[in-house]
Amino acid sequence: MTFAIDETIPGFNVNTSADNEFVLQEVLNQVWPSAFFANGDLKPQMNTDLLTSAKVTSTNPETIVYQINPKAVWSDGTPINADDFIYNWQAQSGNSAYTDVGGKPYDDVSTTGYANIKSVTGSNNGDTVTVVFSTPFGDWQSLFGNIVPAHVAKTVGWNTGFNDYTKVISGGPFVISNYVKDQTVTETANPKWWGKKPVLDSLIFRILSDDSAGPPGMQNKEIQIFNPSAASLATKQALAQVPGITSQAPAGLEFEHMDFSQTDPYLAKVQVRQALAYAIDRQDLINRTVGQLSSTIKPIGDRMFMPTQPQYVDNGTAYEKPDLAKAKSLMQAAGMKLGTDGYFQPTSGPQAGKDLTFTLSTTSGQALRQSEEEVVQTDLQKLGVKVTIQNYTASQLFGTILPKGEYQLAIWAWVDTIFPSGNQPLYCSYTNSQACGSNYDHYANPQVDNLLNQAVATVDPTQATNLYNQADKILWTDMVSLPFFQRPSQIAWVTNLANVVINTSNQGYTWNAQEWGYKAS
Amino acid sequence: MLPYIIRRLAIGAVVLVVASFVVFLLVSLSGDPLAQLKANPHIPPAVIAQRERLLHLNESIFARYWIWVSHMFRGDFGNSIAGYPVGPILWGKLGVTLRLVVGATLLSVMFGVGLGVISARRQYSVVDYSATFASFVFFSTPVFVVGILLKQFLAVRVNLAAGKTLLYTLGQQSALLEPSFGSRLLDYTEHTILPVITLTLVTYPAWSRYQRAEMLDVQNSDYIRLARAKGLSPRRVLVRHILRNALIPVVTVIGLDTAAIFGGAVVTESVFGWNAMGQFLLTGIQQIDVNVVLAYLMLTAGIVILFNLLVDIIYGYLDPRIRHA
Amino acid sequence: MPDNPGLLGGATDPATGAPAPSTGVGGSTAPVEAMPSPESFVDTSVAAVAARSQGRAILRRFLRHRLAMASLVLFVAILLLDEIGSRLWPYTYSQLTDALNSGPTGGHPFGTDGVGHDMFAQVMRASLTSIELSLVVAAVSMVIGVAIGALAGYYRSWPEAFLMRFTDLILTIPILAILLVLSRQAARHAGSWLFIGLIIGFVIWTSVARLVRGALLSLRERDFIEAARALGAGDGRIILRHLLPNAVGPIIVNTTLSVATAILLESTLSFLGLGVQPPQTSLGLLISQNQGAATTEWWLFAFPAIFLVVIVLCVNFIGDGLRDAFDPRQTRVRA
Repeated sequence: MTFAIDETIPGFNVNTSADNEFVLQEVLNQVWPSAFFANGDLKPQMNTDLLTSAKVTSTNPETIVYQINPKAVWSDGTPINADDFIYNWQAQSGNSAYTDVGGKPYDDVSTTGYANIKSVTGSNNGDTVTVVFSTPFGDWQSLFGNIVPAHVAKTVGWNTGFNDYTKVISGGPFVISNYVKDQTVTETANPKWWGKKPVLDSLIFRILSDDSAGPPGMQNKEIQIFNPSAASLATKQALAQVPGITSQAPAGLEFEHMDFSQTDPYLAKVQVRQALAYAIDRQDLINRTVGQLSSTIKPIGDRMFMPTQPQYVDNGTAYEKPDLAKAKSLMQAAGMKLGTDGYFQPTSGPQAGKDLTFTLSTTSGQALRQSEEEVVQTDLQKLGVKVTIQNYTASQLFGTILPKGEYQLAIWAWVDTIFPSGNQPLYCSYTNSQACGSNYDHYANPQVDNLLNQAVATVDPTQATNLYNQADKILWTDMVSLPFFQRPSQIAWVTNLANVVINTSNQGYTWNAQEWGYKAS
Repeated sequence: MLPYIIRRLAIGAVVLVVASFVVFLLVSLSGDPLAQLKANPHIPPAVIAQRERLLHLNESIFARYWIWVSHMFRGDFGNSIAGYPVGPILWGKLGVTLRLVVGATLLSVMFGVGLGVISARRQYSVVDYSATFASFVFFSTPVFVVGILLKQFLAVRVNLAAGKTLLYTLGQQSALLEPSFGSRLLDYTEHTILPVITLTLVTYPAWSRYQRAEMLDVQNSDYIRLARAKGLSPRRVLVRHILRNALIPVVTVIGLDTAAIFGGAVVTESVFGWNAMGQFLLTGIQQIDVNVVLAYLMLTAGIVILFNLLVDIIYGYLDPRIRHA
Repeated sequence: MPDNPGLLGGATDPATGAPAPSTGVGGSTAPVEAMPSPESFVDTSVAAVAARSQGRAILRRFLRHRLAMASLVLFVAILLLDEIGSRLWPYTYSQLTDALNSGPTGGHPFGTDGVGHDMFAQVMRASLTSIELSLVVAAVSMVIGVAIGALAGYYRSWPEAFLMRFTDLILTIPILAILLVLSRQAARHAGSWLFIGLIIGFVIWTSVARLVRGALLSLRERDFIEAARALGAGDGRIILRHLLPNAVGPIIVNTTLSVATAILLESTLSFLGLGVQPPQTSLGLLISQNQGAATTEWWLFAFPAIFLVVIVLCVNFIGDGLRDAFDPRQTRVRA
């Protein structure tokens, strides 16, 4: 069974910044065990093959106790036990006391959560792991995912040791039996697997250099399941012409939004931001872009949770439909005068007396984003505000322009996980540059900070959800950013392949691949 | 002969060095390869600092170039920014690209030169006019348009008619290949046909026209008129005199276009989703990966220089005027 | 001042005629993707010497060349359509209509795309950008090429060495690779069509330069030049008033053909994502954006592609006609 992916794999340790990629997660789902994983309902699910239980035994200090299944072993026979948990914590703690082989610092894509841990201890012959937190962390289930085998990592190194696929031993239903760089990764059944045997005897990941190669590949029966990194109408139409496959474009956890940089004197005024938000017709935007891919996509009302998640609340009902009249009155309240040519002119500041113009920036080379910009430009023109488009490459935009605040209006996407604590660095006050590095808009509101701090530390999921949504309501009032829509993901598989369950989180579609099999025809 | 070869190789080496420096400057100055990494707030600064040190980003451009050159002299192409050594990867990809480039060159030579000869023999006939028009049209069409049209229309129709996939449009080979030589050869061929045809269609027109011009020039020259006047049979005149003289100059033109064919191969590989030199170069440029781009450069430029040298030696051998110079 | 002699008899110019292996990588230059230079394709190997008084004869010959004339008319028609037609057309290229993804109809003869653009307006605008860009390329490459070529041909010292080595450079490295790196370089301006035009121009001037150098080489020892020097004419005057006018023919032909080369190169760059960037548009960009739709929404792909091929074809025919007009040697090919 061949699964087509469209990005290359630098190395196999998905926890490093060098290797962290969505496609690698799909490859590793069946290989490296995770304590919890995101299931198709976008909820964290305990890995019952690896753990018999995982409980919060105390909230002050926050203490979690994991019971590892005594049958759990790595594919080289070494048991999976507390040593692995201890190692994985140390490697991702961000604590410089712990170093990789050769004394080098650990390369981590994220230390969130691990940095809050005070200690990890094993007992009961290594089958019980006790984790004590120094600062409470509500999303503890996001920890200990993609557990790296400690005994191997200590020899070959966390940072680059797993660039060699033979070192990637398995704690899951499949092992990586072959790897041809930039072409294929072959996984076959793990002989030491202690759980329910997978139905398929091999999983092959085929790396495509271009998404347009997917549909013909399915037609030629070279690939049985195809998951392009960017959904597109062209791919959808091409897939529609291939017989015997099922193709869907479910809304993903990645969402497009437009941000207002409050370093600009005009955008610093909340009425201007609100006016712009009232002028943009988000449903029309959807109709002209992703709406053609999936008819269920609607404008989003919550930044912390997506409509497909159970915790979603529509906090943005005020902006559901555009309201040009209201927008115009807000502009006037902000001190703008409507000129004779139909454009607003500020009465003070750097653009005083001239038609108000903002630059709109996004990543170049993406058809979807160009279309979004054109609709925004047209809508704002109707309001009476000029927009010039100035785009950048992804590395420029995310590397320089956004972090340095060198933009006025910008469109990009945030990728949510099922764990909302990732939202904090986006919206907490920019003055705290250490913890709020992703707040590019120069926004600061101590109320939001307070709510987010509480939410991140709350272990009770219902309470936490409530706090996150309260924070989001304030973000709407302050019109910090205007969320647009969920980016659809795209998946197609041969109809003959059973048990494929849609999972739009960054866990990927292979999350339950051990249950896939061909229907007896 | 030997001093000539050595001189040409020396000039070629100088050209390579200058080219490498210029391209090194351009690529290095086009941006920061670690930009996206730096934007990620979760990554500890120590990690970023380590990567910078690995890539020598803190040193001056000249120091970095010198590092690259000294590695190059040892035959080491260096590492990509992801950390893996470039050299071994490159040779594999070169082999794949050569399937396309060599195939297209051979086909273009046969087709282009042949068509040029025929057009010249039947000057002003229907064959000539239609061949000329076709040449102009293909010459005026970008290679990717030709590729897209072949992919969408020819491949689908042929495969449908044959009932199975004969013409592959995805990649350079199938995922699961049987190890037997025969089935591998067949598989490679089925994947290579369309790309080779695409690249050939845009390469042959110029050579065909050039050959036609040469043929006409020779055909109408005085010494041919003399040969005919002497009473030699038309066939003998054609083969021993016209062709022998007219087929030689096009050889140099072919050599000169080698670099252009590699350029066309980059686009063709992109259209057909091949994982070879083209994608290697494009990714290297996008990611500002200097070692990758320079490796591509050295390899293709080296091939072009050597091939041109070979062509000129052959030309020198074939053209009696030069041989006795 | 004696009049310039007529044609260069049957002698082939040393720089552009039968390639001489001993001068290194010599012969025709400036490959376009997988195509050799316009020279070898449309055979400008004779450095035609057309005296100014023969201008009328050249014009007459061009007018008689039917294919070239028809192409010229078509090209001008397209240009007028792009310039004037776009002003008269009810939709602008950036306007978003409410018809999404509709095929060709009366109101939208070229159909619309998924966002609501009228494709007729888009194609007109894209053609205009592509043509303007290629004219910039032609101008830049002509100026640089003539300047370097003249210096190389006349002075023969470092300008010639520089030219020869630079030409070698251009010939050994795929032009596309150079352009890709250059266009990535200043990404802030990368979207501007003017920038793309400039960098293409900076890379393809070599064929004009070699032509001019060749022409000057063969002419500088002629009697009329000796005479001019004897009469006290300075180097500059000699180059500008006596030598260059004799190379006008091939320069014009080559520059015309470089227009075609430029459009093809730009479209390839845009196809690979490194050419003109939205919101600006070009034919290459339109084709690239709609390549997946070739079978499903054929109008999005077909019209830009047809326009591109037709424009380039016209320019090539015009260039061919010009070459014929400047070179009346009937033994050479007729289109």
